[in-house]
Amino acid sequence: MGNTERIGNQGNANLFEALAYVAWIVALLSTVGSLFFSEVMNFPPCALCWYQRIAVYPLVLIIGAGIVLRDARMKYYALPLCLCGLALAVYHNLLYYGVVSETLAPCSQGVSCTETQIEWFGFVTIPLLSLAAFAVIALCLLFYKPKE
Amino acid sequence: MSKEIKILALIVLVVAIVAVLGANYYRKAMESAPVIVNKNNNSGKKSSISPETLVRPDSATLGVPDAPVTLVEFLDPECEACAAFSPVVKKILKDYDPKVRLVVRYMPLHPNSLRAATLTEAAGEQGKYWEMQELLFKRHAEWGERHGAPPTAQPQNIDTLFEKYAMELGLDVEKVNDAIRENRYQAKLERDRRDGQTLGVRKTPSFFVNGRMLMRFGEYDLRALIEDELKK
Repeated sequence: MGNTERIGNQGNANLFEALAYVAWIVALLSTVGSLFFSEVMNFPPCALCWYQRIAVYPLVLIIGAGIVLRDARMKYYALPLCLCGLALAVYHNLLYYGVVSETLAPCSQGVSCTETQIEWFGFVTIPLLSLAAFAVIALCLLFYKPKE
Repeated sequence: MSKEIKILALIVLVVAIVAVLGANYYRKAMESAPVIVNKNNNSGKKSSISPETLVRPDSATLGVPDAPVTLVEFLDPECEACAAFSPVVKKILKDYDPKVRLVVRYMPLHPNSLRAATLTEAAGEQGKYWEMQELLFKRHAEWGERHGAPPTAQPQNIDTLFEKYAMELGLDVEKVNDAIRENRYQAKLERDRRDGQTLGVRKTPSFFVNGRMLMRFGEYDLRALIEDELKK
């Protein structure tokens, strides 16, 4: 009985530790993906996209360093940045889907934050990808626990 | 090296390889089809962009009219990259002569672009279009907006400078000044800008090789696209 419990705990501990990898991979893919959109596909990033990039690019390095050092405090370094990105992504989506009026959009730089660049499967847009990425990273970081 | 570093490095490597391969694949796919479907193409693809959007009859051209490859360049006389790349374009034209002809379209994006384009066009009236284009590119530092450059202590008056350039090329300065004063090429430049936007031009210089958009700016990629068209 005690034995299986320990094995179960062991499995959970592995799972909680693996969450850091999930968060890191999502941050890495967001970084590479956003660069692909702008540098290869030539989509000009809107102002809000830039702010979200500022939040996500450092996460690759911060979470990466946390993984290598097995540092439980990593989440406290990474979460504030991630939550800023999440807030921006929520706002961007509200704007994009017309919940908030476009006249309030802080967009200049020649491209509107509500312009549709991609629409995969009819609903996957760039702002939605960003929101999903920040949400996944935030959840992973919240539940992340390194083994001693 | 710790286990973690190895895992992270491996993932980075895989993602980098996939990204590079994906980028190349995407560019190839985008470059494979012309933005404008020409009439001989019976693939049945419909395009709402008319061929005139790419080449207008009054645009400046260099090279023989029936060259198999038409290179369309959207440029801005005040763009530093256009100035830096101009010798490469001229060299490519020379290397492929008489198989490639150049068509110049304007994509004015800077404060003095329109004025400089007008000056070039006015020089063209007197048969010195290309000389003026080259001169403006060469002297860009004197009159143009520079990226990241501190403002010069005494910015020279642009009218005086442009007059000087006209004189250097032995042009009738009065005629050139008239063209600038009455903004003679406003309609043409506006149309070029609109055509560029229709075609998806966002940067200068942008190139189209027989209607196929160059996806990555650079001499190597431009030559590759030209070679590809010549093979057809």
